[in-house]
This record gives sequence, structure tokens and C-alpha cells, in this order.
Amino acid sequence: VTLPFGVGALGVAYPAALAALLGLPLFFVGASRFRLAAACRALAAALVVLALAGLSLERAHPEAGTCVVAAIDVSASVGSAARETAHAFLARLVPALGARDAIGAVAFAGRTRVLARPVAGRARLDALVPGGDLDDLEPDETDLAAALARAAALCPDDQQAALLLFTDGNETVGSLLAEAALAEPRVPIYPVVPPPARLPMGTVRRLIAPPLAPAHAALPLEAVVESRAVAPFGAALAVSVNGEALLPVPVELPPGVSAVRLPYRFENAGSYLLEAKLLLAPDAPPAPGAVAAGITVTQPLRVLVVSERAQPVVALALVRRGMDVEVTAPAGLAARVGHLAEYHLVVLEDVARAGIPERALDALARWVAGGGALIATGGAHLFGDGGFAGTALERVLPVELQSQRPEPKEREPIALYLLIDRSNSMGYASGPDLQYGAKMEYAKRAALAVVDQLGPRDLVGAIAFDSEPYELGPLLPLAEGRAALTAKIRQLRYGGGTDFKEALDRARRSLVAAGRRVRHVVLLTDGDTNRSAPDHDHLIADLARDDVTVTTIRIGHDTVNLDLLNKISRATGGAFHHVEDVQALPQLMISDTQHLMDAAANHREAPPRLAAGGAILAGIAEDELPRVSRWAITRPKPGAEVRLWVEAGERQDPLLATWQYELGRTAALPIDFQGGGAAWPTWRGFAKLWSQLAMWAAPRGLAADRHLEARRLREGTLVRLETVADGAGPFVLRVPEVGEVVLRPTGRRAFVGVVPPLEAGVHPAVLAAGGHEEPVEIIVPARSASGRELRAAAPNLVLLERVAKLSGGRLDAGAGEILAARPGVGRERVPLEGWVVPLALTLILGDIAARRLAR
Amino acid sequence: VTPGLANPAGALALGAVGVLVVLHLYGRRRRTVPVGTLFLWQRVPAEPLDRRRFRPDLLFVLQLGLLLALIAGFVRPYLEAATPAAERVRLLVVLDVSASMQAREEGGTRFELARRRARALVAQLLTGDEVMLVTAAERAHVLLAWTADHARAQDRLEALEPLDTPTDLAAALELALGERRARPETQVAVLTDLPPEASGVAHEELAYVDWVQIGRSDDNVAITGLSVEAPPFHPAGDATATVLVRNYAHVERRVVLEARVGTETWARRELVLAPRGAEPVLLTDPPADGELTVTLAVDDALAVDNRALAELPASRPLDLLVVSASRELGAAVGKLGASVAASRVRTVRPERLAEAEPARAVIYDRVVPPGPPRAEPALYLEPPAGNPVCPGLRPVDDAAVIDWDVDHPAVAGLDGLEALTLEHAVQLVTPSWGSAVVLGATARGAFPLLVAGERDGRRLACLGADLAGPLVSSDDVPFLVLLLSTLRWLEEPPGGAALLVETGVPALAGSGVAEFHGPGLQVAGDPPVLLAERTGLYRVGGRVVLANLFDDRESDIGRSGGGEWPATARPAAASAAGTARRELGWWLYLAAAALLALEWSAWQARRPRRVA
Repeated sequence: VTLPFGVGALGVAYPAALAALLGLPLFFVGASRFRLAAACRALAAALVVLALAGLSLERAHPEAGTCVVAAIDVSASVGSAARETAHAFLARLVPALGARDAIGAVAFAGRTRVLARPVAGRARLDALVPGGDLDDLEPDETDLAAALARAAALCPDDQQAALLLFTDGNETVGSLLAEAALAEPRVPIYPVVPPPARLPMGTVRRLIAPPLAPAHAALPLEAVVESRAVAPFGAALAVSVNGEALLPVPVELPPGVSAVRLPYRFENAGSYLLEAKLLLAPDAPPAPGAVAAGITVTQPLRVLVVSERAQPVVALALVRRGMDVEVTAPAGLAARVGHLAEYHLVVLEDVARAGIPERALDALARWVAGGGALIATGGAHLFGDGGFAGTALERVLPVELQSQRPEPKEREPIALYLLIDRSNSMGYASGPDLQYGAKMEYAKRAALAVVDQLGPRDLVGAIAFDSEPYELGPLLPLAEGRAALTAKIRQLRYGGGTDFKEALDRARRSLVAAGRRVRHVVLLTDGDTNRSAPDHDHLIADLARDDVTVTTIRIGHDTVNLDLLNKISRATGGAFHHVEDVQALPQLMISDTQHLMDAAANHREAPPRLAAGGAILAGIAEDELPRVSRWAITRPKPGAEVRLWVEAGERQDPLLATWQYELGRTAALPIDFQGGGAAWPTWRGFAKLWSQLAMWAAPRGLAADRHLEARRLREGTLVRLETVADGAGPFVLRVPEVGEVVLRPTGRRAFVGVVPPLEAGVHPAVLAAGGHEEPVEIIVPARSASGRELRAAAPNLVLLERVAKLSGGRLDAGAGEILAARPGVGRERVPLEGWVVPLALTLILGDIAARRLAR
Repeated sequence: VTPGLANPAGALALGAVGVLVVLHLYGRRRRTVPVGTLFLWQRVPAEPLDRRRFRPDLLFVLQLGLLLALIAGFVRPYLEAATPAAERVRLLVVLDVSASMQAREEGGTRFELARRRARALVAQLLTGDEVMLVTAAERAHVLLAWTADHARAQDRLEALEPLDTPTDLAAALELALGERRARPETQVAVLTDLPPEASGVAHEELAYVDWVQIGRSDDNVAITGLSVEAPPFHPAGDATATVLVRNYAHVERRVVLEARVGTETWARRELVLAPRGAEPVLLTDPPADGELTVTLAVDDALAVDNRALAELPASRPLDLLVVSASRELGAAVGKLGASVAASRVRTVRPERLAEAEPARAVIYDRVVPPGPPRAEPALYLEPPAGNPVCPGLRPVDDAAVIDWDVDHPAVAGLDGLEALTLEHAVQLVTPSWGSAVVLGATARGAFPLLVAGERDGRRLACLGADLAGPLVSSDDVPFLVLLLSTLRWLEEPPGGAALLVETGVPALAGSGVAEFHGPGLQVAGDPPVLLAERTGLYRVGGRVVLANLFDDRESDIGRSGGGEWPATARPAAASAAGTARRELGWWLYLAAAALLALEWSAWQARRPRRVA
């Protein structure tokens, strides 16, 4: 008989005894005056019969009790969420346990630890839920299968077993499904998934870093972060290098996976272990532990720039980006071809064929084919030099050299006046990098560079000014006045106030008197003028009327006079530049002069167009690229990639073409950055473009570079060596603590060896190969995880549902369901004689009382 | 025989006897005395004294008997017969049957020595003693549940053989200790070649365990790893294999390694291995494709790890159909095909797809043809929005690969995918039939770039990128590798590649593998799970399964001396007597039932009847 409200079901042990109930009516025979007594007697007799039949209440619990084992996930992806969920769940379950029920617990991540073996009786919650240090359980992995195998063995054979699995279901090793399918006897699994609010809101899934990288270069480091929140939230990315923490990087994490760039430059060569961890708000569940990446930093990129110029702008740009640049004249290349293996990159900067021996070009081509990198840049001087036809250089370049359109032999001479501020402030040190007087020196250098650009028939004059103008040289053809003018410029000293109006007017009059079509003034000043701005209005009008263009260059960080100078330039059709970095001054003035000369030669400037930019032009927009007025005409070879081009009538001329030449990479930039592309060196992105181009072209390392990484195994440390060049080895690794290990090849450039276990940290060692020994550092990470632990975007409910179904359990089941006896399991029987017999006694006494009192 | 009461508290019911007596006294005091004349009242005063005297009658006696019988049944009396402790023993034997137990020692293998000890323990048991046998390999297995049939236990032990699997003693010990907790008189004996410290069980728990460690020899050279690298669509001759050989002995060993592909010898190398040293051996230029068997010719103590199996996949040139309206992609893929010997790449425009001959895989370029799908596995490039196969959200610019599923066979073994950048990509959505294999990201967040899976029994992949550019760009060599790797996975015939497993490690068998129970291998469950217990080659439903033992712990057989650790704490209940209890309550209830009827009958008989 099933009782209501889930109380259970009534049953008897000896059903045959119930036949005695048929005799109960006999008690009512002849007892009409004693009906009450007869009823009591009959009821008492019925109860005695039930006691004889063994009446009992059958409850939902199993007869031998339930053995519950709580398996609690403490892996990094879950954090403390499973523990908190387990605590709350077990707090409800434990009071519901019967006298025969037993409960135990295991904690698991990569390994499993038994916290409490199942015992009957009231269990203490704190003994069932793990706390304290759990690092020995390898939180960077999750082995659900091992946890199941361990937990299932804890219950004795005769008890109904149940496994409560508190986890997010994201296993990184083993197969829970496989274990559940093969386990005998099958233990029902009841997965309990922590609510999303308890799981870490965000995590760093991986750190992307190249294994080998040069020092001083901006490395493309990226942290792949994941947010489980539904809306963006703020966090900080804590990065450490070899255990030394850097300033946390604030990040705004969008929902889902995203990448955070972590631009970083290593100053010194060596082995580094990068670690990144997400810092979340104090009230949020903490993010899992750090992810790590090993990186070997080699010497800075070594670049050999071959140029006919003493200070090529390309070399300056590369130096600014921290590269180790060596400049040599074309003749010097021959002396270095035997040592090209010491360089990452060779740049041929507007060199002519005549200065380079053929054997040097052959050696250069062989080096490129073997994995070297070459960039050729320049104008028609290089790309139009017929001497390169049929040489090894023509073979390796991604463009075909073309005959160039002849330059006009005669250019209209121009008339140019240089107005140079020599006030006191030109002597001040305006920044931490500049010494006292350096500003004046750069101004003089810039003026001399302008003079160098001009032709002998150009008219050049110069005036220095403080509160008064001082003529350095009258407006004369350069052929006549060059020596005197350059000498005067070199002797220039600072001192006095600032007033350029008189100097500007004097220059205007001289230029008008000279009668040339192209009339230009370059006004260079760093401070306030003694006059008010409106005082200059008439002069500006006169300059505009007389077609005298004025380029004004304002040096310094302050903003005084900016409006006035800008107004002069705009009104006269010149350019205005506010220069904060005086080191850029010479190139700026060269660029301005080139622009002027192009105008005189009727050259039109064209905008460069971006094609397949890739990593070389990453972060560079097409509209920020400076225009070019002249370039060498080339044709891309089949298979070459044109990354920048310029429209020339119906042609599309490449400005940057690249390709892979056997094992090496080459690029061609047919622009002379001190000629037709003179505006480029003053563009902010110039150094970036060149550094990205150099990084793209350069090999991963020099032949002598190696990347050594270590990984902790269960019974040793696996050391893996990666080389840049083929044919290296055999390598012997000497580690002071463990002795000597031969690293054996496992691939063309990979070698491995297993050494006895090394502690986490940096271990100095010696790498020996071919009689040469070099000190190296082995960085052994504290953990060597598979990297899978933090990649799960959400709990793996599919797996948990499948395993629950397979094993006979259910996802997110209640305590009652877990403790209930399953089909085929004997149920707990509670004998009811404790109720039946006292009741029978009472009824018998009632019967006797009724009979006696009725008498 | 000892009597006792199971419910002594039931004696409180004796209060009912007092109630019975009171009822009888009350009844007497209230007795009605009919008199015919007041004269007779003179006789009445003498009677109260008489009434106060309690005179039990037959009814009272019957009623008292009834109550006492019920109360006696309620206190549950029993008779208990005690069994002397010395007469009953429970013995639980845990026997290690892992691979290292096959190691040869003086007098036989470790397993044979252990079995001999186990049989001796069982032989010492007396009639009535119970025994349970548990084997420990990679998992615990109850070989024989509690039984007093010692001959059966001996037979089971005799029939037992060691497996080729690793050891997990902890599971078997937990099982044994669980039994000991349930039956505290249980004595546990563990026979293994591992020391107690390697058991994975707390030291204090082992205080209840008799531990017998067997074995001393460290004379073992093993193949501890075998991996094959075969570039996709390359001739079989381009495959390489790396074998890792390790000497676990503390003396130098010379061994000869021989590699055979099918019946052809590939390589034969003589190796000199330093004490405890390891040697990776790179094998190149295989003579053919097929099953690779690497063996060590060495006379060492453990033979099971001297052989390893792998598969050199058959050379399958690219056989591809490109469905594209763009000549650019067709040309680029054609160029790719030209670089792979004997490949066949055809390009058709989408409208002529029906006329195209079958291929091993199809690339759909920016098109998802309507109608029933072709039978070939397919890769959809830059699938158009709103298509039913590869749902996509929107095109995005400046994307980069940020993550990928290293475990997915479509990208297995690929490095350097993080270097991939894409000017234009299509943000895909993970479909129900597949999973995200490669993740891309823009400044606005991440999205699936490559999804792969099976739909209606054929493999599909969707790539949210245009391949024409990357195939000719020197920047994007990893993209080319990704394409080839994905195509190889797509083209792989179902069940074509051998399944490589390690003994004792359950593995998902994949589709097409039916349930199988054979010696050394079993496949069960849904999805089917495979477990190899012996090394070797198996054929299961057309699929080849190669099982190896690569386990440092098993191969490192050296033991420091061995020895025995008898239990320091005896089973708590070993000295307690066993008992047999006989309950008497039922008979007392039966007596009460009889008295109930008898007393009623007696009352009926004595009661004055009304005369009509």
C-alpha cells in the first residue's frame, strides 16, 4: 500500500498471516450489548495479526544505504566556484542522509586527492570541501576520468554508490565518457555545474609570442583573453618577465574572446619567461592563474646599409628603432660579403652598379637564397642603372629593372632665401636629449643641407636675425656664393631678441628684384617676436602679391607665434611646420627644398596606394602615406607581391614589392627618400614602416641563434632546442645540477633530451656543439600545462549530460533523487511493530474496560 | 547461546499490566448488588472489606497472559550463538597485473612469483574463511567477490595472466580499503612490484595492509615513443618516423633497432645506450607505406616494450574539385595542385557543378549550391550570408588568428597559426554540426574562422576567408599549411587511418567502430569507447587499431630491493566473535493472538445470558 506525501509504502513479511483477519467478524457474534468492546477486540486482533505478518514501511532509501562521493573540481578554469557550489549543495544533502548512508569526497584537477573516505554518520562539511593549498593537484589540467576512477573505488560493494561531480565539465586530459563507459560496476554520476556568476568572469587563454626575437624590436606579443560576462567590463592584465612584474595594463574586455596587444621591447639578449594574468575586481571571483610563454631574445637586428651617402635617412630610421646599423660605401660591401652571416639584413640604398664588384653581388644573392634578407631602395640611380642588368641582384629582386624616363636636363633655377633665427633662445636646451646650443647646431646643419640640395644656377641668400637682421649672404647663384655662404652659416652664433619682420621684407625685395619665377623663403624661428601679429599684415599681403612663397618652421614645444607663422605660410602658399624634435629639422628642410625643385621641374606629386599590406604595413593607413613626386619605374616579377603602388597614367608602378627568394626574402622600394620621396623621412610612420619591413624580411635569427625551452615531465625535464640553421649539432647540454645530456635530433632543426627533474626557475647551463661552447639559460616553468585548461568558453554541458545519461545519473539532480533507491536495489524497511503493538495493547485494555464498566 | 532483548525499551509497556489490575479493582468496587428488601442492607457494610481484596479469576489470568505475550514480543527477545574469532578470516588479495609484472626475475616473472604467494595465502585459509580477489592494472577489477570456495579462488588465480597496461594501484587499494571499512575484520594483502610509496594512498591507510613487493631487476631497454610525420599529399617516401629508445638499466646497453614497413625492412641501427640514457632515432626515406613495426633486438627482462607499432599513411595525391566563379582561386589552387605530384585539381563554375566528375573533396568558393549536397566532403570558403550550411554573420576587416583547437585533427600539429592576418574575413557562427577549430579576432572581438564537423555522414569545413590571396603570398605560408591540413582531414576516408592507442588508456573509437570484446581489446558504449589491454594490431569492423605501451613507469622496472611490509595495525574486528541471532518475537505474537481469541471465548462463556 503506497502512502501519500512520499512517506513510503506499507508491506508485510508474511502475507499468509493476513488470512487470520478473516476471523475478525467472530468477535461481533453474540456481543450486541458490547459492540464497543467487540470493536476494540477486533481492532486489537487485527493489529496483532499485522505484527505477526511483519508489517513494515518501505521507504525510498536503499536498504544498505547510499554511498555518496563528492568529486570537487579545483582546476584553474573553475577556481573556487565548484567548492562553493559543493559547500551549498552538501549543506542540504548531509542532513538528508540516513543512518546507513555514507559520504566521502575527493578533490581533483590534473591529479586527484581523497579528502574524506565515505563513512556513515553525520559528516563535517569542512572535511568534505577542499581548502588550503591545492597546487599539488595540478590546477592547470582537468582529468575528470581519473577523478571518476578514484572516486568510484571508494564505495563498498554492497552500498548503492553515487558520484556527485561538481565541475564545469571541461576536461583537458583523459576521457570522462570513456571512463564512464568502461567502469564496472557503473556508478551513476550526478554532475552539478557551478552557476555562471561563481565562475571566473575572465581569463587569459594564451600568450602569443615568437620563440625567437631580436632585442630592441617591438615584439608582436598578444594575450588572448576571454570574458564570460555579457557586457564589457574593465580589468587589468598583469604581465611579468622572468618573475619581475611590469605595470598592469588596463583592458576593457568585450564579451567572448579577444586579443590584447602587449607591445614590449626586450633591451637585452637572453631567455625570458613571460607570464600574464588577469586581475579582476576584488569582489569578483578571482581569475585563474597565469599563462606563460618562453622567448629567446637574440641580439638586436644587425643591418648593413650600403649607401653612397654618409648619413642615409633609412639608416637613421632603423637606428631610431633600436637596430644595430652599420653603414658602408658600395666599395665596402666587397669586404663584408664573407661575413654576411653576421647580419640579419642588407639594405642597398640608392647605390649605382659601378661601385659594387660583381663577386659581391653574387655572394649577396647566394646569402639571400640561403635565408638572408635584402632590401633595395632608391631612385633611378639604382633601379635605372643598366649595369645591374643580368646581375645576381636583378635576379633576387622582386621587380624587373626598367629603363627610366630621362630627367629634364635643365631645370628652371629657383630663388631661395633662408631666414634663420639666432636669438638667445636658440641656445637653450629644450629637452633632456639636447645639450645647450644643440638647437642652433641643428638649424645650421639644416641650412647647409638645403644648400647641398640646390644646383649651381639656383639663387640662394641667407639672413640671420635676432632683434635685427644680419645678412649672411646676398641672393647670388650658388656657384658664386656657396663658399662664403656656407662659411657664414657655420660661424653663426646665438644672442639677442627675436624680430623677423625686417628680415622677411628684405628677402622679399631681393627675390622680387632677382626676377625668377620660383621665389621662396624658408623662415626658421623658435620664439616670440618683439612685434604684434597685426604689424605683419601688410608684409604678408606684399609677399602674396609678389608670388613669394614662405615656408615657416617653428621649433619648440610652446605655441607662441604659431598662428602668425601659419597665417604667413597659408597666405603665401608655403608650408607651415611645428617641429618639436629638432633632430628632424635637416630632413624637413631638405624635403621642403625638394618640393620646391619639383615645382620648378613641373613634377606632379602622386599619392601612394596600399595593396596587400600584411605585417609590413600593419597599423599604417593609406591616407597617411606621404606623396611621392618621383620614383623609379619597375615591373613586379611574377610571384612578387606589390604592397604599395602609385598610379602613373595607365601604369601602376610598384613602390614596395616583396617576394620570397628561395629561403630568403627581398624587397624593392624604388623611391629615393632623399629625392622624390623626400617627404617620407619626416613622416611619423617612416621608422615604423622600415622597422616592420626589416622585421618581415629578416630571418628568425642568425645561424648561431638557438631557442631552448624546458618542460616538466612526471619523471624528468624535457629540454628542446630549436636552431635557426640546418646541419647544426650534435649538441651536448651541461647542467651543473644534473650533469651532461646529449640532445638528439628529432627534426631538421629540433633537438631534444630528457634530463633529471629540474626545479622551476632559471638554470644556467652550457651548450656545446662542434668544439664551441656557449652559456645558456634553461627556464623551467613552474607548471607545464597542456594549455587547454583555460580555453573553454563555457561549461561543457553536453559532455556532462551525456555522461550522466550513460551512467544512470542526471544533471543537476536534487538530494532526494540521489539518495533514493534505484530500480533493482533493495529498499530500506522500517518495522512498524513499534506502533502496532502499543496500539494493540491500548485497544485490549479499552476492550476490557468497556466490558467491565458495562457490567 | 546467549539470550537478549533487541528492544528493551519495550518493557515500558508493562505499565499496561497495572492498568489491567486497576480495571479489575474498579470493576469490583462499582459492582451492582440488587436487593429485594432494605433488611438486607444490613449485610452490605461487611462487603467493602471483601471488595478491596483482589481475587484474580480465570479471565484476569487470560488477560494478563495476553498482555504479557504482546509485551514479551515487543521487547524482541532473541537467542544468540557466538562463533569463535579464530574460526573465521576474511582475506582480500590485491594482485598487480600490470605490464611491469611481466619482468623476468630469478624463479619466474614477477607475476608468477606474486601469484605463487597469493595461492599460498589462499591455501592457508580454513573452511568457512572468505576470500576476495582484486586485480590492479590501469583500473581495479574484482576478479572474485567474497566467497568461501577456496578451490574456485585458486582456479581464478591460476587462469590469470598479466596485462600490457600501466598500473594504477590507488583504485584497487581504495576498493580494498572500502571493503575493510565495511567489514572491519578484513585482512588486505597487496602483491606488486611497486613500493608502498608509489601506491597513491596515504601512509596511515596502508597500516592495515600486508604489502609484498616483488622484483629487483632493472634490466630493461624500451621503445618509449614512436611518432610518424607525413606531410599531407606528399609521397610516402617523404614521411619520417622518430623512435625514442631508453635504457632503464644502470649499465650501458647495446641494442639493435629494426624498423619494418609491412614485410620490408626500413632501417636497422645499432645503438649504444648510456646507463639510464635515451636516444631518439630519426628514420627517413621509408620504402613503402603501411604498418610500421619497430623492434629492439635485446635480451632484457621485459619484452612487452621492445616493440612499437605505427602507420605510415598511404600516399594520396590531391583530388580536388574547385567550384568558383573566380579564375583567381582556380588558378591559385591549380598551382598548388601542380606542386604536389600526381594531383588532380579541376575548377568548375557553380552553374556547371552538376556536370563535374566526383572528386575526393570539393572547395566551394563563395557559393553554397542549392539542392541536395554532393557526396564528397566539402570546404566552403567565404560562404555567403544566409546559407543553410555555414551560417555567417558579417564580413570584417583586419582580422588575425588568435587561437585554435590543437586537438582537432584538421589542425593537428600546426604551429605558427597566430602569425596569420587577414585583411578581409567572414565572421562565421558555429553550426550545430561542427565546432570552432580556428578563432579569428578583430578589434571588436573574436569569431570562428574555421569550423569543422560531420553532417549527414560527410565531413564539412567552413573557412571565413578568401584563399586566393593567401595561396600566393609569402606572408601566409601557414595559411597554405592550414588549407592542406584541412583538406587532408576532409579527404581522409572514414576508418582509413589507423587508430593509435596506448594500452590501458580509454579512447573514443570514432564512428564506424562496432562493439567488440576480444582478447586484449574491448569496444563498448555509445559513442564507442575503446580500451586495449594488450599491445598489438587489431582489426575492429574494418578499422585498424594499433596499441602500444609507452609508459615510463612501467618500463622503468628497477626496484630498490623489494621487501615485505606486514600490516602494523590488525583489523579492528578480527578478534570479535561472529554471531548467529534467532529472534523469538514472532512466536510470542502468535501466542498473544491465540490468547486474544481464548480470553474472548472465555468471557463469552461466563457472561450471564439474558433470558428471553
